[in-house]
Amino acid sequence: MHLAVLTVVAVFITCGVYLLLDRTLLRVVIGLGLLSNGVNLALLASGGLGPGAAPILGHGSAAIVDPLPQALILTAIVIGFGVTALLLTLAFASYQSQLSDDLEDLHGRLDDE
Amino acid sequence: MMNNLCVLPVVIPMATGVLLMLTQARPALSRAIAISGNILSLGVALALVETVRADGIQVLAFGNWPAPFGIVFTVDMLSALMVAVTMVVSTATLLFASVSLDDLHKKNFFYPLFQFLLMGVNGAFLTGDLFNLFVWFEVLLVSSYGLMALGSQAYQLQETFKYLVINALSSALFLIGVALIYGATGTLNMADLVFKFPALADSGMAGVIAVIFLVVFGIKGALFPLYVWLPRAYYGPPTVISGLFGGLLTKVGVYALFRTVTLFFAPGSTFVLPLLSFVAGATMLLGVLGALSQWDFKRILSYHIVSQIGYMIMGLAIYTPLALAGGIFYIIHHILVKTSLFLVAGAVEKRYGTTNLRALGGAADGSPLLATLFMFAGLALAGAPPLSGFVAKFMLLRSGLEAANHLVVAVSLVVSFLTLYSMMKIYRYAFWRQEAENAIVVQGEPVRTFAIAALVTLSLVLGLGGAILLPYVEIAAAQLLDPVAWGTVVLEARVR
Amino acid sequence: MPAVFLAAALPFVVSPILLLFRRPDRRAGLLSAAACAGAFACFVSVALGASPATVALPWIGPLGLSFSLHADPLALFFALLITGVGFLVAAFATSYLDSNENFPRFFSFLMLFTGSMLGVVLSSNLMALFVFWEMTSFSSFLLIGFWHHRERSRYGALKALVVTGSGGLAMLLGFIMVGIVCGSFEIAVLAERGALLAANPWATPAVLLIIAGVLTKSAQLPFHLWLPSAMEAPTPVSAFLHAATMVKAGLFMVARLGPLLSVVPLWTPTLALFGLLTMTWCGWLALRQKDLKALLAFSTVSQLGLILVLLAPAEPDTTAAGLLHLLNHACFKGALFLLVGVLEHELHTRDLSLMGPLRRNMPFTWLLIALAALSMAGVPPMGGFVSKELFLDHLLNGHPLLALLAVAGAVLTAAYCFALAAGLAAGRRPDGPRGQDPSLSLLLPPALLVAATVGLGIFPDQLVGAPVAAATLAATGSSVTGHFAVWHGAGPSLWTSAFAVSMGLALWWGWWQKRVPPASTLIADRVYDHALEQLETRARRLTASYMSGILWRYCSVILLTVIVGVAVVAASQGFVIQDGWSSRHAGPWDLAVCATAILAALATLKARTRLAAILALGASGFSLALMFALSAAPDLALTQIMVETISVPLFLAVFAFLPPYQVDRVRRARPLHAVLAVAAGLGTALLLAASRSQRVAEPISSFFVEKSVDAAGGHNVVNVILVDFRALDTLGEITVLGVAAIACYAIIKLLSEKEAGR
Repeated sequence: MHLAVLTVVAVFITCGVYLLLDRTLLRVVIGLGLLSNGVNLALLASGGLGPGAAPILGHGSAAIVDPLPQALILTAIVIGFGVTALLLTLAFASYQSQLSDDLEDLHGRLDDE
Repeated sequence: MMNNLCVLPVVIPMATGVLLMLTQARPALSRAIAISGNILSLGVALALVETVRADGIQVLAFGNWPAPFGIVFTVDMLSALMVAVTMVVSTATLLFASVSLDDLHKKNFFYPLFQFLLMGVNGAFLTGDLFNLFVWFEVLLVSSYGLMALGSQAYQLQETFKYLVINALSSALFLIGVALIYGATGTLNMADLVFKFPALADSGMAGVIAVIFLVVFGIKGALFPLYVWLPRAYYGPPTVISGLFGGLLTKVGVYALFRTVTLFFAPGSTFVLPLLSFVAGATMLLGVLGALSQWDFKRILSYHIVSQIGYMIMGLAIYTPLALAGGIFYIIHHILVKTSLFLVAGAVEKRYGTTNLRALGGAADGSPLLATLFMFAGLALAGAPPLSGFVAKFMLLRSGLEAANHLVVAVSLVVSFLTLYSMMKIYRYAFWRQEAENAIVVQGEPVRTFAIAALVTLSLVLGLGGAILLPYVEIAAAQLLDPVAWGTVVLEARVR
Repeated sequence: MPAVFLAAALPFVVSPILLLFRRPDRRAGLLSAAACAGAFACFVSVALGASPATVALPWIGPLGLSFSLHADPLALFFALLITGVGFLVAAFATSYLDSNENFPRFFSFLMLFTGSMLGVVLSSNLMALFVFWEMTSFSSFLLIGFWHHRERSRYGALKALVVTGSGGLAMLLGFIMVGIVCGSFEIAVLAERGALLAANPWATPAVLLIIAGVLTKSAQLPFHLWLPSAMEAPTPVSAFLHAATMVKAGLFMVARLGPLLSVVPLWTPTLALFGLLTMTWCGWLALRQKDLKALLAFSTVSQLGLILVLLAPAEPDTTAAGLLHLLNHACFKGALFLLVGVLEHELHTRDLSLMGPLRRNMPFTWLLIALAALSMAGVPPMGGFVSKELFLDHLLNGHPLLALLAVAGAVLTAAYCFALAAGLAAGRRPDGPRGQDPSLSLLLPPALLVAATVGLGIFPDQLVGAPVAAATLAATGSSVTGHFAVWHGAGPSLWTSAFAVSMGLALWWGWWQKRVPPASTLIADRVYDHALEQLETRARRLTASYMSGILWRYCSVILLTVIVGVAVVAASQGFVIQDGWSSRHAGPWDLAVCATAILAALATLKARTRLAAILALGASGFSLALMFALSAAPDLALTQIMVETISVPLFLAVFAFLPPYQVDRVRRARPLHAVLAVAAGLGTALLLAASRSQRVAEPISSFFVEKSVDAAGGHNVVNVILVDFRALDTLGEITVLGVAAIACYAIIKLLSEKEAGR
């Protein structure tokens, strides 16, 4: 299983980084989304990927998977959601005030620099 | 030692922040609440410093779950000092902000965001858990996004967007690092890692993880070559917010480097310290050259943040008791002085409506006290005697020479000189010359000046009275240099 | 309170008090003069033995730093000079400055300087000495730039700070090296540990660094450039700082540290050589100046060179001669500066070639100038004669080439002194401006200084023999063999002196009067200007080259750093990729979901419309949720589904306002980006595999499984971790959500208010 998961991690991060390095606002945001998906999966993999049951006790004495990475991922997902919402707001507001979604235009170099 | 005091620097700002969300509509009341909250936290922080001095490292295990299983706050002298100086500068900044920001900002969550930022900063200084550190980083970052964009000017929005993307990338790296550490050691507690991390050295895994975290904290701490995001991001927001960021935020990254490098990255590694030494020199030099290229009060100061970070890292890289003590002295000095310089920029901006040096002039005639304060703070930044910067720089130079690290010593001297030159450039253009025609006399100047004067006085006190602070930074350095003792204390802490 | 402490602290106490005076208040000047007089009296009482000479003041003991004061005879010699001249200058300035000047600020800076200068000479700790040394530079910066609305003042102030400040930093390094080698920063302790220094390889670099400090502060070649520019300061400042005291700090340092540092063979010859070259070359430059203050500035530099030559050997006889000339120079040069100030005040020019005849109109002023100039020229029976005799005596016994340089210097000095005195007497323009002698309050301070230099010529031994001998003993540890006298008997030095004066007269009469060679820009000045300009230009170019403000470049830098760093470290640390990971077997569902996830991710790259891209991202998120579900993580799966369900519409809503979707706008750098992306993805996967394969300890999570039900009362371990074991993470997480919400609200609200206002 780990080979399959690692492949997905690699593809998510590759695609995420490639999009992150784009000039278009939306593609950067999508890239970050993919990147954070890949990272969450990496966290899950660090727990070992089974074999084992879901970490809910009381269903017999079967071995369960490592619960800690799952807790970390939950925290990371929620934090990531908050940050993504803010990122979207900023992207929207930035576009509204600059009327460009090309990051080459949004360089921020001022005349007096 | 278990101590419940440890959590208050996080709880008080949080409670204050929540309360302040309810008092949005009444700026005067908000201001009173915010300042009271800050002073309360400051008191707690000072009490923590004294407790650590008297009783050693303090630990608080949340929910009484002992380390390494539950999350612990671990307060050694470095943490306590960082929290204390955070509360000092944030109180001064808050005072300044209360008479310099307009209602537009104050009624749109300035005060709550400010408190949540403090919550995150203090949490990062106090926690002894790697993933919890990530969470506090996110708390402070998300608050900083809010503050940085506060005002919704076009420039602010676009720069905050970039700042956010870069920090999100850094957070992703942080989590990859956490995954690697957990994968290899099965733990997240820093004290536990002190004992488990060295086992990774043989396979090269330790080095790889070290690089990843150096980059993560290097982005936050604005180290070469990762500081590119900083100058423009700090230019956008109202100057008083830039001042808070300039003093505090990068120092959280620097703190994390001091913490993790001394606990597990440096012991047993052959490359971490030489690498840091190189990075320190490059950061100093490129930062100051960036400052020399600028003609704006705020942007010059922003580049100097970068440059000054190099000195702190220099202390870490030399890695002797004197060097680490010097590095910590430098951090404390820098937080005070850099914030006061930004506040001077803010006061000048209030008076003349610009921070462009070419458009400014004659502030020494218009506001002699401000000129004096700038002179002191600027000289302190350049490490001129007898101010706080000199004591710190003396410790660094001496330890660098003793450790025969000649190159970084030479670079640091050249950079000191260029810093002095750069500060005098501001003085010559903004404070000397004919007074600009467009002087606007605005209210609130006495309060602003008071806030700056308090910080500058502290710098002078730390310079002339360096003997007061020295024992504390020496304790901090000794604790950092003995990670095994630190780890043991944390792991063996039990409820009294 | 010991008198030494009182005297040293007085200027620092007075300095801020002065700022409380109102702007046109001349009483600020009187207070300053009184402070100087008070300090002077204190030092006299110390010199007479009525008060202890040492005060212990702690600073940072563990680092070896202290502010202790030690007023030995050498320090007292300088302290009396500083406060004495300081008193006269403050008194002079009180009447000299125009009534619309900012008196409080001027005198506050002046007192700051006085205190710093006293600190330099009184400090018994090398680091404290450095502290005050730098403070003299800063106060000098403020005083030179006192008329800061003038461009030349700002230029001069900066130049002085740049030159003396950089020298100071070099010296700091030298001091710390000396302190480390000798194990102390206390000067008294250091003096006994010369042997330690001599045996250490750091000795030579340390001494060279300290020499750099001395040469910059005392404006010796090639650092002489700052002093002429510093003449933009108000004239009392020039007289006090740039003739009588601050520029002598370097000389003081040579006298103070000479016995220690002369154990390094380089010390004496280097200083002597620089001193001699400066004396001669700047004498020549002085001769070519038309601006009186520039002439005096170059002459000061030249005279400082002379004194440096005498102090460099750290031997008693030459040191005594050096100290005597230092005193002489303070008197005649201080007087000359003040008198030039008077001229400028009266005639509104400092240009020698524009002045009318003075002897008739301003007889007293002219007389004082002439007497001071004669003393500088070394004409008997003036003070300058006595010390210049000793100087020639010293050098005629040395290397012939050095002797030649010394004589040349003396000739040039005599020549410009005659040019000054005689040139002013007749005036080069009969129709030039004519003033009249100023009031007594302006004439008295220079007159006292001139009287002093005349007195030093006639009764040198009676007036200062004892103090100079005591200072020499304190500086070198040995006693002077001879004594000062105006008549030494007819020896080689007298003949040389006579020769120099007559040659100087001839040079002035025969050549200078007919054809004044124009003064050109200093080479050092051109180097300085060019260097600063280049510094700023190159800094700007360098910074602009990488501060592009373009996000993908910044991200590339970060990614490149981490990828290269990890690769290099992994290669050098013997990193092995291994697969020792036992995970569960992947079933067909697993593979199908993984394949979907990969396809969805690739689809985000290929999507040509905004809707497709967002949906592809959503698809990757939902496949991730399925992977969670299949990997025994039901809570994660639920959360992920919830988050994706909210995110996708949010994306669509926000980006509905954007312009048409553009793909791959960056063409040129895309291959590099692809490499970075693949390296990042592949690297992460490989590292993850490696980290899992070599786990060194059992995970801490078994504790959670164990305690979940019994101690925490929950069956779902993940939930128990979130709300109990690691509840603090959850607190932070909720805070992040809340803060993100208010931040979004604030941004949108302010944005829409702005739009509405537009």
